[in-house]
Amino acid sequence: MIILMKLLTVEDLDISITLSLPGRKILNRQITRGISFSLEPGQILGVLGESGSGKTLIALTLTGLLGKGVNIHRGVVWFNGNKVDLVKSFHRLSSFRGRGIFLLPQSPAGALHPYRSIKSQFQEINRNIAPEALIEIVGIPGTYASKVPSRFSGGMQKRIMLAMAIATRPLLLIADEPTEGLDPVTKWEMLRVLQNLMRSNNTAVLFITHDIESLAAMEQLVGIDHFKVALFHHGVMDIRSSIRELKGLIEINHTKLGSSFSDNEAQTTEPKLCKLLEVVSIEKTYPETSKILNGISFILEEGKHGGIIGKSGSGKTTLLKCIAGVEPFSKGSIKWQGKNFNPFPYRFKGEVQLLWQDPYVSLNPYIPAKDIIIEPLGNNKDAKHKLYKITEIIGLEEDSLHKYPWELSGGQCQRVALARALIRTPRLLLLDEPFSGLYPPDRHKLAQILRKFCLDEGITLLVASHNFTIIEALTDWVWVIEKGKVVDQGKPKNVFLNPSHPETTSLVKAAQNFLNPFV
Amino acid sequence: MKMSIARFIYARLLRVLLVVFSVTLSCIVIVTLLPGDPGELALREASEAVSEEKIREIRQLFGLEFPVFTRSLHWIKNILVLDFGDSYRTGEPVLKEIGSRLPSTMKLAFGTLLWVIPCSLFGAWGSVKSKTIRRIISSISLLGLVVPDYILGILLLFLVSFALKGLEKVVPFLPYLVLGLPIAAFYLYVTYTHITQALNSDYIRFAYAKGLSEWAIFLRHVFPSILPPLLALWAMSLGRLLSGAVVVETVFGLPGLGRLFVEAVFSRDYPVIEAVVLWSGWVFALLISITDAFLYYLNPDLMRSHF
Amino acid sequence: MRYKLRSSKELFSNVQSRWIQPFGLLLLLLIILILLFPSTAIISDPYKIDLKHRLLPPGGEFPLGTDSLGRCLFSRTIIGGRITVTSGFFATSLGAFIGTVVALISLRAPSLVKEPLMIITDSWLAFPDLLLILVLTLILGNSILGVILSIALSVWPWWTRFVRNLLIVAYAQEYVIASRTAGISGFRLFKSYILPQIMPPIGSAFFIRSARSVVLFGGIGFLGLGVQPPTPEWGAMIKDAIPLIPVAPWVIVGPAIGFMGTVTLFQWAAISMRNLANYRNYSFL
Repeated sequence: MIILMKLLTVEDLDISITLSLPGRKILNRQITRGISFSLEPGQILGVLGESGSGKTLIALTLTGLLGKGVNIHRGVVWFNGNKVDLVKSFHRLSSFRGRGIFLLPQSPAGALHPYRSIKSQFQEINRNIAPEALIEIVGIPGTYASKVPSRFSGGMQKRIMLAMAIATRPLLLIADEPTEGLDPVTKWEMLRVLQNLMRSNNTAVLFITHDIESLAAMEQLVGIDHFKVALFHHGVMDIRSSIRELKGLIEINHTKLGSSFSDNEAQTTEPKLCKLLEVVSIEKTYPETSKILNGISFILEEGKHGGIIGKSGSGKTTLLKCIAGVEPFSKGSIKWQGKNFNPFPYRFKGEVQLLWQDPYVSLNPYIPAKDIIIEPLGNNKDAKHKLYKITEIIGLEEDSLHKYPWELSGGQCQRVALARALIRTPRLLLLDEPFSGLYPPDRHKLAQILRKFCLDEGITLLVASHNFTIIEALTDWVWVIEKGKVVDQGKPKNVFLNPSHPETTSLVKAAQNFLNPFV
Repeated sequence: MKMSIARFIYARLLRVLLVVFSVTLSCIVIVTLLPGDPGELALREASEAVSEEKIREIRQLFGLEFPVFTRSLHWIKNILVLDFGDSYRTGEPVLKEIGSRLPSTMKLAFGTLLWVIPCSLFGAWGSVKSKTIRRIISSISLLGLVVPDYILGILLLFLVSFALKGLEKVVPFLPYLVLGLPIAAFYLYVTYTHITQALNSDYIRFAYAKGLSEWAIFLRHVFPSILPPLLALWAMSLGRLLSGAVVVETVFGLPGLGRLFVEAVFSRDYPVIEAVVLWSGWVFALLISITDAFLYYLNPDLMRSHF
Repeated sequence: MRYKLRSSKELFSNVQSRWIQPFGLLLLLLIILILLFPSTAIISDPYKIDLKHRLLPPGGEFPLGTDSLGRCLFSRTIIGGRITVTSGFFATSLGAFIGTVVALISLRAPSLVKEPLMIITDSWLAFPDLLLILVLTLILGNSILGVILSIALSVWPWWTRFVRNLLIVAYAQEYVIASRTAGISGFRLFKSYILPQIMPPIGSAFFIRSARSVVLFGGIGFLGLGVQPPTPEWGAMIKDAIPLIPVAPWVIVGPAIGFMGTVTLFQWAAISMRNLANYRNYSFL
């Protein structure tokens, strides 16, 4: 009887994947080891796992969307009274798609058909609904329904996908990283919509993510009765009823650190008055789109770390790319150490390094981690020594050095990318949404390590993020960007406690909802 | 934004014109490089005594006495009024010669693509979805890929006429089969690759998540995304086919452009050679430009990405 | 998108790796040896005309029989293969070389040089192969070298387009951009980053285009151009064999099998090169 009340029950799910490696080796990697969980209508289960842990595969399994190379060894799923033996009749799960189960897939930008209007994509699901009304629910003006998704930002596309999910009135919504890459304002909207859906339609939600803050915010929104969270680590799920209970688990499982580090406030020295980087009125336009950089100017002094904060789509990443010399800008100029200098293309040659937001994408998949890290050094005899020094400081284990990027977890990849960026001790290090895939304790400690390292080696940081804690931990001065222009600036603490510009205010207010749950 | 669309169209048109122009130029270059004196050859064929006098007479007849440069200018001038001259071999106006062969070539070209394109599309989709279909189709297409068309044609002809009597009705369809099989095999492979690539993309995954049927996904999601490279491929094949399918025409004895061309090559029939080369070049350039324009119309974002 | 129950291996490629690979390699080696040292395989002089032994069926002294002039078909097939296959191979190599050079120029050169170059390439691409080859054979002569050059000159624009697109995509990968920012450039970048991306498709295309060149070379011979008798050439041999089919059907066997075997081998080689690229299966994580 109890089983009948639950909407979804997963029993003893055991999945592994088979990878073919160069040299025709076959690697079998266990993803889940007999996990079991259940959901009742109107309940939310947050699945917390690092990127690369395989949690997406759980979502794919439940919707019958697995590809080649994935093996299901055991598992039974009960959905809405229907029993599906995964080993024997896996295909039955596909019949639930769109009729009861809806999957919001993970993708950085959005998974809509880029060139067909939103309206038509809605009508594919259900001819009887009015798309305009639905997208209003998620906060997008109804008039956009006739437009084409390629014009929209990632956050908007994710919201539209959510609206489509609502259109099918799902019993179970599986959300795979729904808040990834979104700024606090948009994140909050998404979570509110989810909560509404849960309340009005009694939808159960499986929330798969690495973003603890979002889950914590969700816990506040829906209340403890409707909330469960599971820590997914090394194939095992540890289910608790509140995020606070995870604190100890995370610290034990995930905090492997470099030595010789203490948890003090990072020391600040007298900022040297050398103008390291001066950005003067930079403009950049993509053809067919609006100006993404609309006259940004600021001065970065050596030793004084700078932060750039703004909503998604405000131009942060593009600005960093222009400074690093990856993209050209159309107007304005950049001065390096007082002299005019156009960094495009790639003219900085190691003095300025850029750390990508998504580490997987920025690492060469054909060579192992240790080669990736020492590559910028060229044929340096010191290479090995430097390698060990930096991996010790950052906290990379010996055996992960010999693995390929796709064998490493998200956090390890971030560390590899960071090590590569630091090994040549650049004068300026640009960071795009750093540490976003890590848990708060790791994030905090890594930020401290980085700050100390920069102090010792004389590196200046420029951090672009919409996460206030990171900005606070890493920078001494922050610029707020809206639509490609600097609208506010100041010391991080002052800007956050006393926001003066409306843009800053909205960002700060939204961020209040996503504070570190363990503090 | 309107400005840039207009400017873009002008740029494309300019490009088309330039391509056509350089095609013509290349034709002229090729033509002037062609060795062999048609006068001598014609005489030899007629087994008349070869004397200086006679050669000069014939050259005068065909206007070959002028230096190469003037000849080229004459040629261009004539082309502009669609006068391609007379064939050396038959004496008939070249335009008429080509015109008489075009219907057969066109029938072959369009007829072949008519069955190859749908077959390759559905065959590729089937191969993606089902392992058995994939095996069957790979074996058939292996035949098309491995066996050169001349061998295949002969084999099939003899098979039908000698071994399997009663299948005479099939014979008229054989040229299309022989011509199309290698093309279909290649298309299948390319389409298959593109479909698998498309299926791995994010939005196809989402389309599945929405619960759409296989058919809907194929028609409305997969097909539009694989259309651009396929359309370019089809256009090129069409262009090639419209210039004559030499081997198939020879094997099956069809009166097409390809055979005309080969005969012209053998007998150094310059006007015909020049005209056919020009025709195929233009057809190609035109087809590719039309395809490009159509693709940009379908998907304006392509305009952004010029390499 | 179905999943597999058994511990799945890429079924096709693993079957290949167990059986076909060693077998195919052996065959390839054998053929290369024969092509390089034909005298070891020839039984009798492929040119020797012996009218007393015309049109003999296979057997005894003549494993594939004799043609209408009494020449040993087996030896003629071997020598013909040497000419047809190696010519096709060299034609593709030459064409690929020219095409790649032009592609590299078109990517690095200033606009003034780039645009006309691309237009010339495109317009050259506009001609159907056989047409162009026939015309070029006329110009360059009916010898082996002439036909090789003709094929190469008609094929290079395809390679230019192909290599150019590959390079553009390769350089646009995020991790390549990331490494360039880290200071890696020039030859090192090319060796570790670009080469692994472009080698499988180029290798694969090379074999497929080689097969095509072999067939084209034969096609020219089939039409009566190109290499002239008495030099044996598969295409010409097929042309001669056609009228003989009702009387002596074995005459066509040698070159026919030759073509099909060669092309199959090249196809297999192309597939193996393609499989080399498939070792990154982590994308669905």
